[in-house]
Parts: sequence; C-alpha cells; structure tokens
Amino acid sequence: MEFLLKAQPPLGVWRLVKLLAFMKLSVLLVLVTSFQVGARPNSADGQTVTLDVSNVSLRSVFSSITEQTGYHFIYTSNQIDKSVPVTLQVRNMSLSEVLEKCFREQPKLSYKVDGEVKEVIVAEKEVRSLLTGERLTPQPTGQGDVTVNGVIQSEEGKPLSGASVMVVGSKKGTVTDGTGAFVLKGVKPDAVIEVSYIGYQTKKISIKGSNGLQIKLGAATGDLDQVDIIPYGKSIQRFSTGDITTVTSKEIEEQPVVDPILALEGRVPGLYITQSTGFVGSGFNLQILGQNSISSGLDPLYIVDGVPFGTGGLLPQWNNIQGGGNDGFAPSPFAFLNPSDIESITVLKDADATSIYGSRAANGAILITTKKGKAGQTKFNFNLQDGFGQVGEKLHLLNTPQYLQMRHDALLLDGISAPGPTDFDINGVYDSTRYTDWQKTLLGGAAKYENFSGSVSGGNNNTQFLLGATYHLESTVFPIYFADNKGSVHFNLNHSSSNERFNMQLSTSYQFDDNHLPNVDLTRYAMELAPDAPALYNTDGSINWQLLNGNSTWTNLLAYSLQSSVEKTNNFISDVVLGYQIIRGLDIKCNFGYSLLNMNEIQMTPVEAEPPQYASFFHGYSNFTNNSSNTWIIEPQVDFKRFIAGGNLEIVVGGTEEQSSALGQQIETSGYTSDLLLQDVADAASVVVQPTNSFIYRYNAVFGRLNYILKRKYIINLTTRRDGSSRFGPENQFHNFWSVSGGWIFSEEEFFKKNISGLSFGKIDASYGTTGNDQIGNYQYFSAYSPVSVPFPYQGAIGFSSGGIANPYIQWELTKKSNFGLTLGFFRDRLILKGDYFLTRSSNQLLGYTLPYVTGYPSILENFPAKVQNSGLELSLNTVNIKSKNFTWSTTVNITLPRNKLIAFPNLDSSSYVYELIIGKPVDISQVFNFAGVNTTTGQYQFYDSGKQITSSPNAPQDNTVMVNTNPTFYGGLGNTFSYKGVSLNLFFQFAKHISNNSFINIGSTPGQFNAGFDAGNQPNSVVKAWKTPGDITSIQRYNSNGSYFGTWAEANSSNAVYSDASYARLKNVSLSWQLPGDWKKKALMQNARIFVQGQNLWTFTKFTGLDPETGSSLALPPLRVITFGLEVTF
Amino acid sequence: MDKLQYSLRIFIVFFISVLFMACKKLIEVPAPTTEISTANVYASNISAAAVLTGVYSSLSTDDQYCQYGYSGPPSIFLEAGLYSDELSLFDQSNTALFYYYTNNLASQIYSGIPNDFWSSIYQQLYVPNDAIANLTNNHSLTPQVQQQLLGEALFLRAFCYFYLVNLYGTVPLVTTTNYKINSLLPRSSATDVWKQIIADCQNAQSLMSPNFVGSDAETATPERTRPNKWVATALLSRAYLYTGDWKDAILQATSIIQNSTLFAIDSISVTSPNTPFIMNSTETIWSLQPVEDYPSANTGEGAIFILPSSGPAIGGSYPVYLNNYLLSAFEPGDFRMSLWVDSVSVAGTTYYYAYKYQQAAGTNTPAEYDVVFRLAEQYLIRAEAEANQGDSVDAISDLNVIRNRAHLPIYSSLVNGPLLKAILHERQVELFTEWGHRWFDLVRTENANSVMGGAQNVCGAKGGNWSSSAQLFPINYTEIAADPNLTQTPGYQ
Repeated sequence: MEFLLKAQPPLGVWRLVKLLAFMKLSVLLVLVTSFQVGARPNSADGQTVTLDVSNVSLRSVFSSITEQTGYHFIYTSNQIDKSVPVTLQVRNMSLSEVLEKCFREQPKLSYKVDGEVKEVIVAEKEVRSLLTGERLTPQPTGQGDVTVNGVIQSEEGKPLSGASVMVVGSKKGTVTDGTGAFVLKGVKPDAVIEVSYIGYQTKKISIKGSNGLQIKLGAATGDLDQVDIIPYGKSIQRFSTGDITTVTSKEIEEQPVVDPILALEGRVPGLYITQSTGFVGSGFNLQILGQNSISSGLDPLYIVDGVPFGTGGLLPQWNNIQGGGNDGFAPSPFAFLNPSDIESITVLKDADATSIYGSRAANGAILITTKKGKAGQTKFNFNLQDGFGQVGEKLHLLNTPQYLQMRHDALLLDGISAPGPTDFDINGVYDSTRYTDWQKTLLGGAAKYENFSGSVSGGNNNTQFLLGATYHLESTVFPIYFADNKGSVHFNLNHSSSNERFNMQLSTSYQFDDNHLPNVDLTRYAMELAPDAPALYNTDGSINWQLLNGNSTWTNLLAYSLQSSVEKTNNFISDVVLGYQIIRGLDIKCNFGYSLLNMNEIQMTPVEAEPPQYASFFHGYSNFTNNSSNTWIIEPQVDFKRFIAGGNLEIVVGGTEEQSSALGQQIETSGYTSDLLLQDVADAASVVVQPTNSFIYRYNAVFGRLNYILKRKYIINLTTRRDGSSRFGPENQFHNFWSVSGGWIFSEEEFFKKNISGLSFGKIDASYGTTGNDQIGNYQYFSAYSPVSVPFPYQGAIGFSSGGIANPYIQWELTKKSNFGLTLGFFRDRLILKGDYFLTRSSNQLLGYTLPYVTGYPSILENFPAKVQNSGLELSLNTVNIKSKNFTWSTTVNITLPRNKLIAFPNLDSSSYVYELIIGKPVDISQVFNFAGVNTTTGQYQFYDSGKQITSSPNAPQDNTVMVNTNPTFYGGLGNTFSYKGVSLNLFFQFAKHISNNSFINIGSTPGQFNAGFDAGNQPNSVVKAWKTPGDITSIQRYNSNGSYFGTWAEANSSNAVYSDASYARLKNVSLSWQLPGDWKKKALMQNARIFVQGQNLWTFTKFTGLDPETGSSLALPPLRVITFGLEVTF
Repeated sequence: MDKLQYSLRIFIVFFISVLFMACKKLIEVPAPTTEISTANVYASNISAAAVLTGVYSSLSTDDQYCQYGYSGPPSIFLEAGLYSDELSLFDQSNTALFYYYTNNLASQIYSGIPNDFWSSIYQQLYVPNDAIANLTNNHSLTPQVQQQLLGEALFLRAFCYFYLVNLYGTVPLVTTTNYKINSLLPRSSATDVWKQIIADCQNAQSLMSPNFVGSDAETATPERTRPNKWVATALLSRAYLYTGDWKDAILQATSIIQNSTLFAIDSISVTSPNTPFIMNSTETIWSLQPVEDYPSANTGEGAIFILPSSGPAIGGSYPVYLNNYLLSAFEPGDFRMSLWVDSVSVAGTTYYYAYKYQQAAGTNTPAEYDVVFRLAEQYLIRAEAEANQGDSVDAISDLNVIRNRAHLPIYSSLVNGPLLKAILHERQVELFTEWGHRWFDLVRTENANSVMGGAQNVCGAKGGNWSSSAQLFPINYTEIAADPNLTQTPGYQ
C-alpha cells in the first residue's frame, strides 16, 4: 500500500478500474442453472414436489425442485438479486401448483414452463436499469433483430466459463460467464454463431431465432487444439504465438523412469537433456535453447502446480548419497515427484512464453501439472509394474594374461628387473591366475524395479476429486543390495459453487523416500581394478583384505557396503487456487502455494569398513545431516475477457510474492564404542557441529498479459513483468521485462483457402522480448564472517572465517529472445509441421570472474558485458499415416539444430577467460593440446605446439591449440505408434550428434602402472597396440610402471585424442500394450484393463568407444536398460 | 448503486493495489542467520578476536591435515622436507608429493599437483589484511584489545610473507583487500617484501601484549597459542638474520633470550625426551593448538611421521620416512638422534622417523602443540649473526647452549668459515623437519645447488634432476592467466 500512497499508479490502471466498474452496470448478467439430473430417472412421480422451507433463497428452492423433478430453471443472477426469500410448506404437490405458490410472492419475477425440455424459464416483470434505462429482460431489439441467450457446456454438462461466442460475418460477439451462459443482442434471426473454447471443438450454430440455446462442445481431438498450460492461463497451439511444447501423461506413463524430467528426453524440440549417471534420482544437465550463461545457473524455472520448485539451492547441504555426490553430480529434486501423478509437463522456450516470468526464466520454464479428477462415475484405477534394470553396455578391458603381459612389459621397458614391494598384482601377493570380470561382478546384476499405484477419482459437475497412491522400489545393479523406496500420495479436489461464481482447486502431493543407495559409484572400480585383484570374500564369508604383514593390500569394495547410509526425504507440495467471478468476463483468483522438502541423512562408517591395520585405533564415525527447505508463494490475479471490436481480448494482471528459506545442519560424530550405535549421537566420543547453512530468498513481482485474437486470424500478445529479488545487490534489485508477439493464421484467409488445397492450417508467428537469469545463489553481495566449527576450538573459543570478497552491485543476466514460427497443417491436420527459428542473446553475464589467488579468493561474481548467442532451428512433424477402423499408425519426429557462440567479450585477451573462451565459438568449448601420436623412437605421446612443432612437453595454456566443442550438432527424437484393435505399440528413438570425451585414455593411470592404494591398473584392451620397440607406429604410448611417463599421458588426456564422435541413436522407449477384449472386461466389471511391457534405453546405436555416449563417461554408471511388465485395470 | 456493487468496487481497487505493491520492503531479507557482516564483526572485542582466532584455527587445520593435501604454511615441514634432504618418499604413488620429492615442480597442474603454497598462503593472508584495515583507528574496541588484535594481524601478515618470499623469491605485495588493485599486482622485489615483513613485525611488536593472552586477546593465560610481543620479536630476529642485518638480529634475539621469566631451553633426557614439544613448554615462543581430532588430536607431524610397526605405506597415511642424508648428519652421541628419531623395521629394512612429536595418529587428547617458534632457534640466530659480525666468542657460546642440551661436546674455538658451517650444521640437526628450516637454510646460505646437485646430488639420489632454478617454486599458470602483470618464476617458463 505504501506504493499507492506515495504515487499515483499509472493512468491506465485507473482507467481499467473505471471501465470495469462501468461495465458491471451496463452488462447484463445471465446465469443459467445447470443442475445435473443425476442418476435418478425422470419418472412420472418426479412431477410432484415436497418442500418445507422457511425464509430461503429462491435459488435453493429451484435446486430442490430440480432435484425432485428434473426440471431445469433458466434465470439470470440479476433476477435472483431481485427475488425475495421464500417460505413454503407443501407435500406431494404438483409442480405447477408449487411454481404458482412460489412466484406469487415474487414482486418482480414471473415464469414460463416448457414441459418438453423440462425447463422453467424465469422472466422479469418489466424492469429497466436505473442507470441506463435499458430494458433488462431479453427482448427483440427492433428491425427484426433478436436477442439470443444460451448456455455452453462440455459434453458432460460442465459449464464452460469464458467461452467465446461470435456472430459469423459480423463484429458481434461475447464471452460466457461462470455458468457458461451468454446473451447476444441485436442478432439477425438467421444468423450463425460460432462457439469456441480452449480444448473443445469449435461449433457453428444457426440460431433460428431461438432463445435458451444449450450448446454442448465435444473435446478437441486435433493436435493443434490440445490445451497447453501456460503461465497464469491456458492456450492451444492454434492460437499460440509462443514456442511451447507439452508432454502429456500418456507419454510419461509409457516410460519406466523415476524422474519425470527424464521422460522429456528426446521429446521436446529445443530441450537437450543428458543424464549424469544411471542411479535412481541422479542429476541431469538440462538446457532449453542452449547455454545462455557462461557460468551462472542453466536451470529453467520449474513450477509444479503453481509452486516454484527445485531451483535456487533447494537443499543447502546435499550429501553424498544416491551415487551422485561423490562424482560431483547433484541429485535431482524431481526424483521426489511421482511421474504417475503428472498430467502434463509444458516446456516454455521463447520470450512470448517466458517473459512473464521475468528474471527467472532466461533459461526457459517447465510447468508441471498434476492430475485432476473428472466428473462422472467413481473410478478405481490400479497400475502394477514389475521389472528390472541392467547395464546395457560393457567396455572391452584387458583379461588377466593380457594385463600381466602389459605389466611385465612395462617393467621391462622401465628397466626394472623385478616387481617392487607394492606391485601386489605381479609380485605374488595376488594370485596371478585369477581372472575376474569386474564389470560382471560389480555391475552385472539386475536392479529391481517395482511400481504399484492406485487411484480413485470421480465427482459431479461441481466437485471432482482424485486420490492416488504409489509405491516405488528400485535397487541397483551392484552385488550388494541397495535400494530406494518411495511412497507417494496425491490428492486433488476441485469445487465450484452451484452458481459457478466461486471455484477452488486444491492439489497436494506428498512423497516419502527411504533411500539406502550406496555412497560410491562402483563403476570406476569395475573399470580400473586389476583383473587378478583378490576375491571379495574369504572362504569363510568375511571380507577379504588380502593381508600382507598385517596390512591390507587393496581396498575391498565391500567396505563400501558397510559404509551405509540412511536417507529419508519428505516432499510436500500443496497449492490452492481460489477464484471468483465478479461479473461475466472478469474473474479474480489467487494462488496460494506451499512446498516443503526435508531430508535427514545418516552416513555411517563402522570400524569393520576400514582395513584391519587401522582397527586398533580407528573408531566408527557417522555424519548426520538435516536439511529442509520450504517455499511459499501467493499470486493474486485478475483475468478479464471481453469480445471487443470483432475479437477476443484477454487481459491478465497479477502479482507474485514468494519466499524460500532453507536450513541445513550437519553433525559429525566419531569415537563410537560400538558399530551398532552409529545412529546415536549420544554414543559418540566426539561431536562436531558443522556451521549451519541457511538462507532466506524473497521475490516479488507484478505482471500483466494482453492477448487479442481478431477474427480467429490475427493474434497479438503482450506481456510484462516487474521483478524484485533479494539475491541482488541493494542498488540493483528491480528490473522490468517484457515481450511482444504476433501471429497470423493465414489459412483462414479466403485466398489461401481457395488456392492451396490440402492446407488445413497455416500460421506464422514472431515474438521478441526479454528475460533474466538470477541463479547466483543468495547473499552474494554480502560480505561476512561465519563461525568455524572444530572438535577442539582454538583457545576454547569459536573462531570466524571470512566468506570472501563481496560485490554489492551484482544483478541479473539479461536475455533477449526472438523467435519466428511457422505451423502448417495438411489434410485436415493429419500432418502437422511446426518450425521455429530462435535467436537469443544473453548479456550482462554474471561471471565468477577468476581472480588470482593473490587477492585472497579465486573468483568474484561480476556482471560482465559479454554476450552469448544461441540460435537454431526446431522442427517437428506429427503425422497420422494410416487411420482405418482397426489400425492406426502415427509418427512424431522432432529435430533441433542448435548453435551457440560467444559474440562479445570486451578485453577477452587480457581477462582470465582468455584460455577458456573464443569469440565466435561456443561458450563451453575446451581448448586442448593437438595430439600428434606416439613418437616412434621414444614411445612417448607427442603434440604439436603453438608453432606446429612436435613436442612431448607441451605447455598449457599456450600450446592449447585445438578447440573441442562437445555441443550437439543436432538432436531429437522419432516416435512411431501403431495400434491394431486393442494392441498398441510405441517405439521411440532419441538421437544426438555430438563428440564426447571417450574416456579411452582416461581410465585409471598410465597403461602399465599399478596403483596399489586404489588397485587401479586395468585398461581397455586396445592398449595392447601400445608402442613396444623403436620404429613402432601406433597411437598408444609405451607402457610405463613407475609414473615417469605420467606427464605425457596426462597431457594426452588434455588433448584432442580423447575426444571422438559420440553420436548415437537410442531406442529410448518401447511400450507394447494390449487392451483386454470388451466382453472380458464386462464380465469382470472393469471399465478398462490392459497389460503392457515397457522398456527404457533398450538399445544404443553408436560408434562411440566409451561406456555411454550420453554421459560421455566410462567411469560413471550409465543410464540403465529397464524393462517392466505391467497391468492396469480400472473399475 | 447498491451495496454489493459498491463493495465489489472497493474490493477490486484493493486487489489491484495489492498487486502493485512491488516495493522494496517485500524483498528485503535479513542477514543470513549463520553469518555476521564485516561491519559488525569488528565492532566488538569478542567477535573481532574471533576473526583472528579463526586464522589460527585454520593454520592449525593445515598442519593437522597436511597429509591430505592441505598446504598452508604449517604443512611446509612435509613438502620442504621432501624437497630438501630430510625426508624420503615411500609412497611414490602420491603424485603430489612425488613432484616435490623429485624437485620436479611444474607450472602446470595435473590432477592435484602440486600442492600449492602460493594459493593457500595468499588465502590465509586475506583475513589479516581485512583485519588490519578494520582494526586500524577502530574505536569500538577497548584500546588494549584493539592494539593486541591489530598487532596479531600485522604479525600474521609478516608471517605469511616470510614463507612466500622464501618459497617464491619475489611476490606481489598485497596489503589491502581491494581485489581490483590486487588482481593486477606484479611481483615486488624481495627487498620490498622483506621491508614489509620487518615493518609489520616492528609494528606488531610495539602493539602486542608482552604476556600470553587468551581468546579474548586480553586475559593472560599459560597457553602459548596466541602471538604476543615476543612472537613478533622472534619473527623479526629471523627476518633480520635472513636479510643479513646482523646487528638487529642480535638485538631482537637477545631480548627474547634475556626474558628468562617466560623462556628457557628445556632439557631433554630419556625419561623426558620431547620436553620442548609438549604443549606450552618453556621453550615455546609460539605454538599452534591442534583443533582437529582426526587423524589425531595432536600435531600433523606426529600423525604423519610416527610409523606404525607395519612401516610406511602406500595410499596416504604414512608416505614418508627420514632421509639418510639427515640421519648421517648427526654426530655420534647426539641425544637428538636417540631421543628425537625413532625407527621401525619391516622385512629387514629399517625406516627412521622424526619423533620430536610423540603423539601419533589415533591419539584423542591434545598433549603436544605444533611449535612454530622456539627459543633454541633464537640462540642459533644470534650465534649466526654474531659469527657474521666476527664475534666468534659469543657465537660459540650461543652454539654451545644448543650442543650442551644435546649432550654433545661443546666447541671451544672455531673461526669464521668453519663456525658458520658448524652453525648451519647445528641448525640442520636441531631444527630438522620443523617448518622448512633446512630448505630455507640451504637456499639463503647458497648451499642449495651444491647439496641438491653437485657432488652430493641429493636430488639425483631421490630420482630427480637438479636445476638451479628449482631453488624457487613455480606458480600455477592459472594464476598468471588471472593476473596479467604476474610473471612465472624464472626457469619455469
């Protein structure tokens, strides 16, 4: 309010308020009840009425009568306003008598009964508006024109609020009110009206002078008319000017994935996802339209049912669990959402779709909407899935004889006559006749995959509900049993008042995750362990440490199984939307969202997990971590819809107030007396409390959108947002963002209709606008000291440590996006081609600007006038190839050709980024040495230096002469769906062309070396080609046992030798399902029953030499091949 | 207009005005609950003292975690010991240490190589500089505390530069926290750095308390863990010695030696072999109190040096043992050899280890502190300065204090050259594996080339190739990339 008192709001706002108020007076409100007849049949006894009411509203009398007789009442809200309370006591009285009694007391109202359609039409006795003198009852308006009223409903009888009604060939039109009712005045008696509503088929109706039209719209079936959830509203592709892609529950449910975001892989043009590992809930890299930011966050804005989720440091202290942490991959918070609760995921890409999210949407936005109940019979749905996951690919590694040969050759070449004391693999400590295929032993298992879900849903036109629950279990491929258990509950409730003015929506999701996944990814060890390394177990079943003089000679991986973790996570998201229709076309609503995520973890290291030589003084230790974060959001909003000047105008104005806070605490305990008590802090001799990690983030904004569609042909869309964020320096906290876009549906023009046959739809659109990126963490502008926690505080007192150099001027990165789109539909939209060209430029880059350590810290955050450009082409094609009575075949294909480049970086040459960035090249390129093969004389790797001379000791950075670009040249997906009677088959391929670090040389250490501490030594079997004698021409450096050739090996790892083509096509998903025959279902009283098989990551076609072309790593668990069998029944 | 319509209008106006409340208030967040702003931290005695306590705590952590790749000044005993002739590397798979051991540091960093003193010392330097800026002319604190803390910060700055200048020769002289200026600094001449060290020490000396004070920087305590006037004096005398200002070195060392109420040379015997290294020994001028409990609640030296019966090991915990060059330097009958060196035999091989600190890994109660300055060094400083001034009588007498404690025969007369050599030798066997003394001595007395290369060729014996440029360490190339005015150490380009 402060703002209002200080200054006048913009003139436009006042005008709007006045206009709205004026319209309130001049616009006639028509409300038509639409009480459902319900299950009771319309029998003759329905014609009598029993009532015992005292001083109740006329409306409630109407509803009682409707309930008893099945007669509808058609009336306006104005009429009800003019009614007086009714007192009536009747028993089994005929309907006409009751009506007579009822209306006798009404001074201003009369009625008319239509027995044929069982309707009672309420009329007014000659009343004129006080203000305008306008006659308020529907009357002919002269010249033979008539007033048309009616109600628009869905086929199920649900009133459609805000549906557009326009008179064909004129500029007249209107929108319906909350009850779906409309009134059109001055219409020619022979006029045709066109009724349309988002998500429903458009209908043309000849009015024939009739009043009280009841128009039912069927759900739209065409791809162009499917509803997309957009910020603060809904849209369809037909009228959208934005670059939006929606993935629906159908596509998500077909995929056995635990993280719904992974279900988007390959299905959304412009969206590139790479999974980091094959662990349940491991993180992913996701980019929408390329990398906008050089070094700040690349996350899009995620919104789940109106609540922002998953970004901005969701949990302050993630721990190592889920296999990810140790390898530097943050786990995905979306693993705590249940995919089967999700109705749709909408990916918003361009400015038109995202500018309304302002400073948070430079990287796009992803809106996740959960399922809602539908009116109708109560449905019970059960879905059971059981399956397994396994590692799909293996690396070809040396076997024991090859390995031993390599090691001995290495010693020979190094001039070492006998193996050293720590060469356990060849000095007799290990049994050199052993061979273990560690990939098989450690990664060869089958992970369990179980998913059981059930739901009950139903309701009537005023109230719908859905209650669902899911249990999910997934284990790992490791030889030790680790599993992740999830249980989730989802509840959705929709209600609208009987006059349809008030409505509410409640969505609540809760998931509990009990995670016992290992702390360590064993994949690395499976690749690096010497093939003659000892057995995991002794013959007596105990852990084999392969002792030598009382010391273990290797790190038995089973020790990791003893280092157990217990991680319990609760994720709760709830959102309530309350709405009220003030007058027809003017709704206010408010969204209240809340999410709470907390995670408790205990990591335990028992004495048993340590090699025996440490047992005498080693005590078990534990780490306790508690994290919680919560977000609340309040978003009031006004929606205004009006038919103006021949077109539909929609204005949305709203505001956002959001707060996120998080708290993370960690306690390290050690010195336990027993391994059995590791979960109890009280038994620890030493307790160290780590500094608490907490933050509060606040965000505040106002936004508006104006959308105008003229004659269903010309579209204009304007959005704006003013944002304030607590993440930025006090001087730079507010900023405005905006977008403008337009579209032209040229296929509606007569010229195209006449001249291009087969073209059923054609639209071009363009948008331009601004967004921001605020992903820099909290308090970055704040210079501070924080306490340091140590077991024995220095001088018994807590000390402070400095938080680093602060920059009070930081603000957001600005991204300007433009997009040009073309959508074409052919053959009644059986073939739809959509193309988008995007061009985004991000400036004001927030760079962790590298500082020399001389300054005390390695970097400082600064806004820097560097510019990054992303451009590219997105194409998607959906076709229905065959559609016959029993067989349909449809295809969907999408491809994205992205291009990223740095277009400006002032003073790059004198900056710390000089060796990282090149103007005109992608921002994430690597600059590496130029590999020149193996020196035939010395057997060493060699490189071309900056002067094109061959050297075996290149110097970074000046000899980093080769640029490596790992960005995809193109990526996309191809899906085919076949259905024959009850059988349906989906095949979905995902593909990408890119190069990647093939990890070929990167395994372990120099070939020939054995690293006793880590038991690393094995190599890909291609190393047998290594240089052996002078004159050998090969690409693998000579074997070396003592690290003296480590330098060139490491340099080769920083050269272009380790990058190779990693293009692939992956059979991402296969889903085969069979609908049980109808009569079987009938006998079993089932509405729906199907059995299915689903497979994920089934096959990968690639020439890549590493383990997995998607992760590009040979040392991380690749995405698993998952196959499940399932049954779904609905009663 | 009826009542309903009126109230609706009011409601709409209210609603829209709520929407436009994008005022600053709504996005103001309180300071993080776990941090304290720089302005506030220097506003009270306790929090200002805690800032410097934090530095000592961090230095202590560097010492205790040295075997895990920590590389603050206190871990220099390990890397400089390997770099010189004091330690042998058993765990040659420890690539970080291997490059030190073979005197083969490079400007290029492979994974984890080399442990970089440059970055860690400059990071340690940030807080003292910030403290100096915020404590100078600070009237929020009681004057006594303000002076003590300012003195501590100045001392710490000098302390950091002492290691920087000795390891890298010439270094950028950072005296503020202004990153815009600091990120463009070139190397300053060694002379300027020494000038700064001496000036800071002198200031610190005049500001700090002559007593040992506690965590409040005020109350006297028996704990010798916070720098005081004498600690600054000890560094000052060392700085004068290193810069050849014999007269002042003698003056400063003398002032400590004469303070017999605080300091004395502890005697050692079979029953009490490690007296100087027990916490708060009278020989201690300044020590770091251990703060961590793993691998030991005692010093990093104890945890890493003291070998278990299984001997040194691959893979982290016990990578080093004493080098023969050091062992053979002890004269027969030297108590320091019998009391401060111990050994284990594994499969016929005897591994010797430094046993000055006798609390090994796994000990859970602090009993030894990491001694940074001790009185014995001051005697050796004074002896060397006196010898250089030609005062061999006093020099021999000071030297004999140390030899006497080691139960070695005392010198009666030695002339210049041999006297200096004897002092250098005495420093080697007295200060071995402490704070990089041996390495710095070799370089500053210009003996590095002859010992590491030349006829003795310690470097060759360790498996490396000596180059004269290895007397100074290289700096990471990323550092040169980040500071356009910074140059690589000669010989590493």
